[in-house]
Amino acid sequence: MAMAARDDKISNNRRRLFKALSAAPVVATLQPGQALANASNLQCLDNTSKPITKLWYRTKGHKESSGPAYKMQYYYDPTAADGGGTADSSYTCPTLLQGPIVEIDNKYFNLDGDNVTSYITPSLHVSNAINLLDGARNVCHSGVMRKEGLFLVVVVPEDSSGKSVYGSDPNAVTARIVGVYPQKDPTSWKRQGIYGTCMASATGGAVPDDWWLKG
Amino acid sequence: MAQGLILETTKPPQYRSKTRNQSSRLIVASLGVDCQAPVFDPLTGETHFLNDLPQIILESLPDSPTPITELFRILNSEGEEDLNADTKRVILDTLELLEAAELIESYDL
Repeated sequence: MAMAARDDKISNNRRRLFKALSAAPVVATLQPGQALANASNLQCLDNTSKPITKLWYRTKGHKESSGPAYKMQYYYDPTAADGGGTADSSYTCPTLLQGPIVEIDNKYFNLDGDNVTSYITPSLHVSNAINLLDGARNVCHSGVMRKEGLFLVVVVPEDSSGKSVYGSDPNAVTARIVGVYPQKDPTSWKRQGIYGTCMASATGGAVPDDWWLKG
Repeated sequence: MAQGLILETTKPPQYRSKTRNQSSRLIVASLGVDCQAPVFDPLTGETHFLNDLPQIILESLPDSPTPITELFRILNSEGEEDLNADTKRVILDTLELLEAAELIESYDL
């Protein structure tokens, strides 16, 4: 009886082994969240040299947008620290410059997506700092780089006449930047921006309600 | 024939399971036959999913260094000679997968 039980066990073990041998062995590893975030970040960094067109956005009440791009960026806080300029409160600083500035591909944008490059000069006194000029090219603000990371540039495709069109429209020949996302303080610990974790955070609830990712 | 030759002429390493090692204890959730077994490694935060063969080998491998011939015997239950060269090769490949995932350790003799 005992011998029969042992034989049954051996038989079951062998059956299980040979059944398992019928499929290729698989050891799949799921990385911890932190590693995934880093991997996502690196993936985005890898793509900084070329535009990313995989993502599509639609804003409520607007045409479908296309061509948002992740780019390596630098965030400057004009209110943070002395960038080596001669800021004087008597100057009237253009509204365009009243807020954080983001550098993308050697161009400068405010968080509304306005190109303010013509208002910017690199600081001669402080590394990684910029001076923001007013109309008379006086320094109205200066700022130091506070954050290096990733921003999402939201663009709307346009046809040759400047009319907004769907991204899939064959007449789409150019695109207009309508904003930089996130429009938040990248240095705030309270808010999770797109930088650092890239898409992982873009889909994590930080996207405004009237935006959604198509795919 | 070539695979058998490799097994006979090279000195195979010994293997040791890390699942029972106190210093690197893995958390193995056994879901039974025909299920993928998740294995959580608290040290790395990684979770590994194994299908049947890696699962069987991991369960069968002692936590002390074990010669490959002994592992073949354990797996086969009836003696090494019944496992053909192809089967041994698949088992060795699986051991490599498990070692790459740091679920087992090998020791060169």
